[in-house]
Amino acid sequence: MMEQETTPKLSSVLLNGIVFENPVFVQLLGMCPTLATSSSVKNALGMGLSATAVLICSNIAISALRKLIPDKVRIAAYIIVIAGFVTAVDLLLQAFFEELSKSLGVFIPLIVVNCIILARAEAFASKNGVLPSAVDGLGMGLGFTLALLLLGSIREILGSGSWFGIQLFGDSFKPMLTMATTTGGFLVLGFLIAGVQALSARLRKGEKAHE
Amino acid sequence: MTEQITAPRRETLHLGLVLGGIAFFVALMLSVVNSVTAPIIEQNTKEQEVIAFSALFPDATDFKEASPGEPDLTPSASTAYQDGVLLGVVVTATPRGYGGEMELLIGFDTGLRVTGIQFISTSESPGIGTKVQEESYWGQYIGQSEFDGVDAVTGATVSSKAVKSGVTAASELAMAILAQEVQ
Repeated sequence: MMEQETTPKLSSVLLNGIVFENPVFVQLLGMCPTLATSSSVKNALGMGLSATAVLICSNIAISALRKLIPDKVRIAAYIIVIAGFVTAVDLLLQAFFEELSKSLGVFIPLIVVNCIILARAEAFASKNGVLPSAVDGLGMGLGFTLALLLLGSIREILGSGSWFGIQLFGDSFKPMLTMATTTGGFLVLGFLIAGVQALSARLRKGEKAHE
Repeated sequence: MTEQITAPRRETLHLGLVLGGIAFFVALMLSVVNSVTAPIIEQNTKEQEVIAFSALFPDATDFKEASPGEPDLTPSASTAYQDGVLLGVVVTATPRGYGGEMELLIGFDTGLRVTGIQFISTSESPGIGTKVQEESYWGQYIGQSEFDGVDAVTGATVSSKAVKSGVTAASELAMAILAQEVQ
Protein backbone atom coordinates (compact mmCIF):
# COMPACT_ATOMS: atom_id res chain seq x y z
CA MET A 1 0.00 0.00 0.00
CA MET A 2 1.55 3.25 -1.12
CA GLU A 3 0.82 6.47 0.62
CA GLN A 4 -1.73 8.23 -1.55
CA GLU A 5 -1.99 11.55 0.21
CA THR A 6 -1.72 14.86 -1.52
CA THR A 7 0.76 16.93 0.40
CA PRO A 8 -0.70 20.40 0.92
CA LYS A 9 1.54 23.38 0.35
CA LEU A 10 3.19 24.16 3.67
CA SER A 11 3.05 27.92 3.31
CA SER A 12 -0.67 27.88 2.61
CA VAL A 13 -1.23 25.52 5.56
CA LEU A 14 0.59 28.00 7.78
CA LEU A 15 -1.29 31.04 6.45
CA ASN A 16 -4.59 29.21 6.73
CA GLY A 17 -4.17 28.91 10.46
CA ILE A 18 -2.99 32.46 11.01
CA VAL A 19 -5.42 34.32 8.73
CA PHE A 20 -8.01 32.59 6.56
CA GLU A 21 -9.08 29.96 9.08
CA ASN A 22 -8.01 31.78 12.21
CA PRO A 23 -9.33 29.60 15.05
CA VAL A 24 -10.69 32.52 17.05
CA PHE A 25 -11.84 35.05 14.45
CA VAL A 26 -13.06 32.72 11.72
CA GLN A 27 -13.73 29.28 13.20
CA LEU A 28 -14.88 30.72 16.55
CA LEU A 29 -13.23 27.84 18.41
CA GLY A 30 -11.92 27.94 21.95
CA MET A 31 -14.02 30.88 23.09
CA CYS A 32 -13.76 30.01 26.79
CA PRO A 33 -9.97 30.30 27.16
CA THR A 34 -10.03 33.21 24.70
CA LEU A 35 -12.27 35.33 26.87
CA ALA A 36 -10.86 34.16 30.18
CA THR A 37 -7.17 34.67 29.50
CA SER A 38 -7.22 37.76 27.28
CA SER A 39 -7.80 40.24 30.11
CA SER A 40 -4.06 40.93 30.15
CA VAL A 41 -1.41 40.63 27.44
CA LYS A 42 0.86 38.50 29.61
CA ASN A 43 -1.82 35.88 30.26
CA ALA A 44 -2.84 35.97 26.59
CA LEU A 45 0.74 35.30 25.47
CA GLY A 46 1.22 32.53 28.02
CA MET A 47 -2.02 30.84 27.07
CA GLY A 48 -1.38 31.21 23.34
CA LEU A 49 2.11 29.76 23.48
CA SER A 50 1.10 26.89 25.79
CA ALA A 51 -1.76 25.96 23.47
CA THR A 52 0.60 26.23 20.47
CA ALA A 53 3.10 23.84 22.08
CA VAL A 54 0.36 21.31 22.83
CA LEU A 55 -1.13 21.74 19.36
CA ILE A 56 2.15 21.08 17.55
CA CYS A 57 3.04 18.07 19.73
CA SER A 58 -0.41 16.49 19.56
CA ASN A 59 -0.66 17.07 15.79
CA ILE A 60 2.72 15.37 15.27
CA ALA A 61 1.88 12.43 17.54
CA ILE A 62 -1.59 11.90 16.11
CA SER A 63 -0.36 12.19 12.54
CA ALA A 64 2.39 9.64 13.22
CA LEU A 65 -0.08 7.26 14.82
CA ARG A 66 -2.92 7.82 12.33
CA LYS A 67 -2.49 4.43 10.61
CA LEU A 68 -2.35 2.65 13.98
CA ILE A 69 -5.38 4.20 15.62
CA PRO A 70 -8.60 2.33 14.83
CA ASP A 71 -11.46 4.57 13.74
CA LYS A 72 -13.75 3.43 16.55
CA VAL A 73 -11.55 4.65 19.37
CA ARG A 74 -9.88 7.57 17.63
CA ILE A 75 -11.40 10.31 19.83
CA ALA A 76 -10.38 8.45 22.99
CA ALA A 77 -6.88 8.02 21.60
CA TYR A 78 -6.65 11.73 20.67
CA ILE A 79 -7.77 12.78 24.14
CA ILE A 80 -5.14 10.57 25.81
CA VAL A 81 -2.40 12.04 23.63
CA ILE A 82 -3.63 15.64 24.15
CA ALA A 83 -4.09 15.20 27.90
CA GLY A 84 -0.57 13.81 28.15
CA PHE A 85 0.98 16.82 26.44
CA VAL A 86 -1.15 19.29 28.41
CA THR A 87 -0.07 17.72 31.69
CA ALA A 88 3.56 17.91 30.58
CA VAL A 89 3.17 21.61 29.66
CA ASP A 90 1.41 22.27 32.97
CA LEU A 91 4.23 20.66 34.95
CA LEU A 92 6.90 22.51 32.97
CA LEU A 93 5.13 25.84 33.50
CA GLN A 94 4.84 25.17 37.23
CA ALA A 95 8.54 24.37 37.40
CA PHE A 96 10.00 27.09 35.19
CA PHE A 97 7.34 29.83 34.85
CA GLU A 98 5.76 29.70 38.26
CA GLU A 99 4.18 33.15 38.19
CA LEU A 100 2.60 32.61 34.79
CA SER A 101 1.33 29.19 35.82
CA LYS A 102 -0.36 30.76 38.83
CA SER A 103 -2.04 33.52 36.88
CA LEU A 104 -3.32 31.11 34.21
CA GLY A 105 -4.48 28.70 36.88
CA VAL A 106 -7.10 26.22 35.78
CA PHE A 107 -6.98 27.30 32.12
CA ILE A 108 -3.81 25.31 31.44
CA PRO A 109 -5.34 21.94 32.43
CA LEU A 110 -8.43 23.02 30.47
CA ILE A 111 -6.40 23.04 27.23
CA VAL A 112 -7.24 19.30 27.19
CA VAL A 113 -10.79 20.14 26.20
CA ASN A 114 -9.85 23.10 24.00
CA CYS A 115 -11.77 22.37 20.84
CA ILE A 116 -9.10 23.91 18.59
CA ILE A 117 -6.73 21.07 19.43
CA LEU A 118 -9.24 18.24 19.05
CA ALA A 119 -10.59 19.86 15.88
CA ARG A 120 -7.13 19.99 14.29
CA ALA A 121 -6.46 16.36 15.31
CA GLU A 122 -9.71 15.25 13.69
CA ALA A 123 -9.75 17.55 10.66
CA PHE A 124 -6.08 17.69 9.77
CA ALA A 125 -3.57 15.52 11.64
CA SER A 126 -5.56 12.30 11.17
CA LYS A 127 -5.54 12.81 7.40
CA ASN A 128 -2.11 14.33 6.68
CA GLY A 129 1.56 13.53 7.06
CA VAL A 130 3.72 14.47 10.01
CA LEU A 131 5.35 17.58 8.53
CA PRO A 132 2.16 19.27 7.24
CA SER A 133 0.49 18.41 10.56
CA ALA A 134 3.29 20.06 12.51
CA VAL A 135 3.03 23.15 10.29
CA ASP A 136 -0.75 23.15 10.69
CA GLY A 137 -0.30 23.01 14.47
CA LEU A 138 2.13 25.91 14.30
CA GLY A 139 -0.17 27.97 12.07
CA MET A 140 -3.29 27.37 14.13
CA GLY A 141 -1.33 27.97 17.33
CA LEU A 142 0.09 31.24 16.04
CA GLY A 143 -3.36 32.29 14.85
CA PHE A 144 -4.74 31.58 18.31
CA THR A 145 -1.84 33.41 19.98
CA LEU A 146 -2.11 36.46 17.71
CA ALA A 147 -5.86 36.67 18.25
CA LEU A 148 -5.37 36.44 22.01
CA LEU A 149 -2.62 39.08 21.90
CA LEU A 150 -4.78 41.48 19.89
CA LEU A 151 -7.75 40.95 22.20
CA GLY A 152 -5.53 41.11 25.28
CA SER A 153 -3.81 44.33 24.15
CA ILE A 154 -7.10 46.14 23.54
CA ARG A 155 -8.59 44.91 26.80
CA GLU A 156 -5.54 45.67 28.91
CA ILE A 157 -4.92 49.13 27.40
CA LEU A 158 -8.55 50.21 27.75
CA GLY A 159 -9.29 48.28 30.92
CA SER A 160 -6.19 48.91 33.01
CA GLY A 161 -4.31 51.59 31.07
CA SER A 162 -1.28 49.35 30.77
CA TRP A 163 0.41 47.00 28.30
CA PHE A 164 2.36 43.98 29.54
CA GLY A 165 1.90 45.47 32.99
CA ILE A 166 3.63 48.74 32.03
CA GLN A 167 1.52 51.81 32.82
CA LEU A 168 0.94 53.80 29.63
CA PHE A 169 -0.99 56.81 30.82
CA GLY A 170 -0.77 59.27 33.69
CA ASP A 171 -3.09 59.38 36.67
CA SER A 172 -5.69 61.36 34.70
CA PHE A 173 -6.55 58.22 32.69
CA LYS A 174 -9.72 56.58 33.95
CA PRO A 175 -9.67 52.91 32.87
CA MET A 176 -12.82 51.34 31.43
CA LEU A 177 -13.25 48.67 34.07
CA THR A 178 -15.74 46.72 31.93
CA MET A 179 -12.93 45.83 29.53
CA ALA A 180 -11.24 43.66 32.12
CA THR A 181 -14.41 41.63 32.65
CA THR A 182 -15.93 38.99 30.40
CA THR A 183 -18.51 41.52 29.18
CA GLY A 184 -15.76 43.68 27.74
CA GLY A 185 -14.13 40.60 26.27
CA PHE A 186 -17.30 39.72 24.34
CA LEU A 187 -17.66 43.32 23.11
CA VAL A 188 -14.09 43.57 21.84
CA LEU A 189 -14.27 40.07 20.33
CA GLY A 190 -17.47 40.98 18.45
CA PHE A 191 -15.95 44.11 16.96
CA LEU A 192 -12.76 42.27 16.02
CA ILE A 193 -14.68 39.46 14.30
CA ALA A 194 -16.70 42.03 12.36
CA GLY A 195 -13.49 43.78 11.36
CA VAL A 196 -11.80 40.57 10.23
CA GLN A 197 -14.88 39.57 8.21
CA ALA A 198 -15.06 42.98 6.50
CA LEU A 199 -11.37 42.83 5.71
CA SER A 200 -11.47 39.33 4.23
CA ALA A 201 -14.61 40.20 2.22
CA ARG A 202 -12.77 43.16 0.72
CA LEU A 203 -9.73 40.98 0.00
CA ARG A 204 -11.89 38.43 -1.79
CA LYS A 205 -13.59 41.14 -3.84
CA GLY A 206 -10.19 42.48 -4.84
CA GLU A 207 -9.12 39.01 -5.94
CA LYS A 208 -12.23 38.64 -8.11
CA ALA A 209 -11.72 42.02 -9.73
CA HIS A 210 -8.18 40.95 -10.61
CA GLU A 211 -9.45 37.88 -12.39
CA MET B 1 -7.03 -21.59 20.62
CA THR B 2 -6.64 -18.48 18.48
CA GLU B 3 -9.06 -19.80 15.86
CA GLN B 4 -11.82 -19.86 18.45
CA ILE B 5 -11.66 -16.13 19.13
CA THR B 6 -14.44 -14.65 17.05
CA ALA B 7 -13.97 -11.56 14.93
CA PRO B 8 -15.80 -9.03 17.17
CA ARG B 9 -13.86 -10.25 20.19
CA ARG B 10 -10.62 -9.96 18.33
CA GLU B 11 -11.53 -6.43 17.30
CA THR B 12 -12.35 -5.43 20.88
CA LEU B 13 -9.05 -6.86 21.99
CA HIS B 14 -7.26 -4.89 19.27
CA LEU B 15 -8.99 -1.62 20.27
CA GLY B 16 -8.10 -2.15 23.91
CA LEU B 17 -4.50 -2.97 23.09
CA VAL B 18 -4.04 0.13 20.92
CA LEU B 19 -5.56 2.44 23.54
CA GLY B 20 -3.59 0.74 26.29
CA GLY B 21 -0.40 1.08 24.30
CA ILE B 22 -0.94 4.79 23.67
CA ALA B 23 -1.80 5.34 27.34
CA PHE B 24 1.35 3.45 28.34
CA PHE B 25 3.63 5.66 26.25
CA VAL B 26 1.90 8.86 27.39
CA ALA B 27 2.31 7.75 31.01
CA LEU B 28 5.96 6.98 30.34
CA MET B 29 6.54 10.46 28.91
CA LEU B 30 4.75 12.07 31.87
CA SER B 31 6.78 10.13 34.40
CA VAL B 32 9.96 11.43 32.77
CA VAL B 33 8.66 15.03 32.77
CA ASN B 34 7.46 14.67 36.35
CA SER B 35 10.77 13.33 37.58
CA VAL B 36 12.43 16.47 36.18
CA THR B 37 9.88 19.03 37.37
CA ALA B 38 8.74 17.63 40.74
CA PRO B 39 11.84 18.64 42.74
CA ILE B 40 11.88 22.10 41.10
CA ILE B 41 8.20 22.69 41.85
CA GLU B 42 8.67 21.63 45.46
CA GLN B 43 11.66 23.93 45.86
CA ASN B 44 9.74 26.84 44.28
CA THR B 45 6.88 26.39 46.73
CA LYS B 46 9.26 26.27 49.69
CA GLU B 47 11.21 29.31 48.52
CA GLN B 48 8.02 31.29 48.06
CA GLU B 49 6.88 30.36 51.53
CA VAL B 50 10.18 31.45 53.06
CA ILE B 51 10.07 34.78 51.18
CA ALA B 52 6.46 35.41 52.18
CA PHE B 53 7.06 34.43 55.81
CA SER B 54 10.11 36.62 56.23
CA ALA B 55 8.29 39.55 54.60
CA LEU B 56 5.78 39.34 57.45
CA PHE B 57 8.41 38.88 60.18
CA PRO B 58 11.76 40.21 58.90
CA ASP B 59 13.43 39.65 62.28
CA ALA B 60 12.26 36.09 62.75
CA THR B 61 14.94 33.40 62.84
CA ASP B 62 12.65 30.40 63.13
CA PHE B 63 9.13 29.37 62.14
CA LYS B 64 7.24 26.45 63.67
CA GLU B 65 4.04 24.78 62.53
CA ALA B 66 1.33 25.56 65.03
CA SER B 67 -1.42 23.04 65.52
CA PRO B 68 -4.67 24.92 66.03
CA GLY B 69 -7.54 23.10 67.68
CA GLU B 70 -10.16 24.03 65.11
CA PRO B 71 -9.04 23.82 61.51
CA ASP B 72 -12.24 25.10 59.85
CA LEU B 73 -11.69 28.31 57.85
CA THR B 74 -7.93 28.37 57.89
CA PRO B 75 -5.80 25.42 56.83
CA SER B 76 -2.53 26.23 58.55
CA ALA B 77 -0.70 28.54 60.89
CA SER B 78 2.89 28.92 62.03
CA THR B 79 4.46 30.71 64.94
CA ALA B 80 7.44 33.01 64.40
CA TYR B 81 10.38 33.23 66.81
CA GLN B 82 13.47 35.37 67.08
CA ASP B 83 16.12 33.46 69.01
CA GLY B 84 13.48 31.54 70.93
CA VAL B 85 11.32 34.57 71.73
CA LEU B 86 7.78 34.46 70.31
CA LEU B 87 7.24 37.26 67.78
CA GLY B 88 3.79 36.38 66.49
CA VAL B 89 1.76 34.09 64.27
CA VAL B 90 1.50 33.65 60.50
CA VAL B 91 -1.95 32.42 59.46
CA THR B 92 -3.04 31.17 56.04
CA ALA B 93 -6.54 32.33 55.16
CA THR B 94 -8.53 31.18 52.14
CA PRO B 95 -11.56 33.47 51.77
CA ARG B 96 -13.75 33.36 48.67
CA GLY B 97 -13.10 36.34 46.44
CA TYR B 98 -14.82 37.49 43.26
CA GLY B 99 -13.00 35.01 41.03
CA GLY B 100 -12.75 32.10 43.46
CA GLU B 101 -10.68 31.21 46.45
CA MET B 102 -7.83 33.51 47.48
CA GLU B 103 -4.87 32.38 49.53
CA LEU B 104 -3.49 34.98 51.93
CA LEU B 105 -0.76 34.88 54.53
CA ILE B 106 -1.40 37.24 57.40
CA GLY B 107 1.11 38.00 60.14
CA PHE B 108 -0.01 38.94 63.66
CA ASP B 109 2.30 40.14 66.43
CA THR B 110 1.81 39.03 70.03
CA GLY B 111 -0.64 41.90 70.58
CA LEU B 112 -2.80 40.53 67.69
CA ARG B 113 -1.93 43.52 65.49
CA VAL B 114 -1.45 42.79 61.77
CA THR B 115 2.19 42.96 60.70
CA GLY B 116 1.48 42.41 57.02
CA ILE B 117 -0.49 40.57 54.37
CA GLN B 118 0.98 38.46 51.57
CA PHE B 119 -1.09 37.37 48.59
CA ILE B 120 -0.10 33.81 47.67
CA SER B 121 -2.71 33.19 45.00
CA THR B 122 -5.76 35.11 43.84
CA SER B 123 -8.02 35.00 40.82
CA GLU B 124 -9.55 38.47 41.07
CA SER B 125 -10.45 40.52 37.99
CA PRO B 126 -7.29 42.17 36.65
CA GLY B 127 -7.27 45.91 37.21
CA ILE B 128 -10.29 45.78 39.53
CA GLY B 129 -10.17 43.11 42.21
CA THR B 130 -6.39 42.91 42.01
CA LYS B 131 -6.24 46.40 43.54
CA VAL B 132 -6.68 44.81 46.97
CA GLN B 133 -3.16 43.44 46.45
CA GLU B 134 -1.75 46.98 46.36
CA GLU B 135 -0.27 48.38 49.54
CA SER B 136 -2.68 51.32 49.46
CA TYR B 137 -5.39 48.82 50.36
CA TRP B 138 -3.77 46.16 52.53
CA GLY B 139 -1.53 48.70 54.21
CA GLN B 140 -4.64 49.87 56.06
CA TYR B 141 -4.58 46.67 58.11
CA ILE B 142 -1.05 47.10 59.42
CA GLY B 143 -0.91 47.76 63.14
CA GLN B 144 -4.66 47.18 63.50
CA SER B 145 -6.43 44.55 65.53
CA GLU B 146 -9.93 45.81 64.71
CA PHE B 147 -10.78 45.97 61.01
CA ASP B 148 -14.06 47.93 60.90
CA GLY B 149 -12.29 51.11 59.85
CA VAL B 150 -10.70 49.57 56.73
CA ASP B 151 -12.09 51.15 53.56
CA ALA B 152 -12.99 48.91 50.63
CA VAL B 153 -11.50 49.57 47.18
CA THR B 154 -13.94 51.40 44.90
CA GLY B 155 -15.37 48.95 42.37
CA ALA B 156 -13.87 45.98 44.16
CA THR B 157 -16.26 45.55 47.06
CA VAL B 158 -16.39 41.77 46.83
CA SER B 159 -12.62 41.35 46.77
CA SER B 160 -12.22 43.84 49.62
CA LYS B 161 -14.83 42.06 51.71
CA ALA B 162 -13.12 38.74 51.03
CA VAL B 163 -9.78 40.05 52.28
CA LYS B 164 -11.45 41.56 55.35
CA SER B 165 -13.26 38.31 56.19
CA GLY B 166 -10.02 36.38 55.68
CA VAL B 167 -8.11 38.68 58.02
CA THR B 168 -10.91 38.57 60.61
CA ALA B 169 -11.02 34.77 60.57
CA ALA B 170 -7.23 34.62 60.71
CA SER B 171 -7.21 36.96 63.68
CA GLU B 172 -9.50 34.64 65.63
CA LEU B 173 -7.23 31.71 64.90
CA ALA B 174 -4.15 33.75 65.80
CA MET B 175 -5.76 34.61 69.12
CA ALA B 176 -6.36 30.91 69.86
CA ILE B 177 -2.79 30.02 68.97
CA LEU B 178 -1.28 32.84 71.00
CA ALA B 179 -3.36 31.80 74.00
CA GLN B 180 -1.99 28.26 73.60
CA GLU B 181 1.57 29.48 73.26
CA VAL B 182 1.45 31.68 76.33
CA GLN B 183 0.31 28.80 78.53
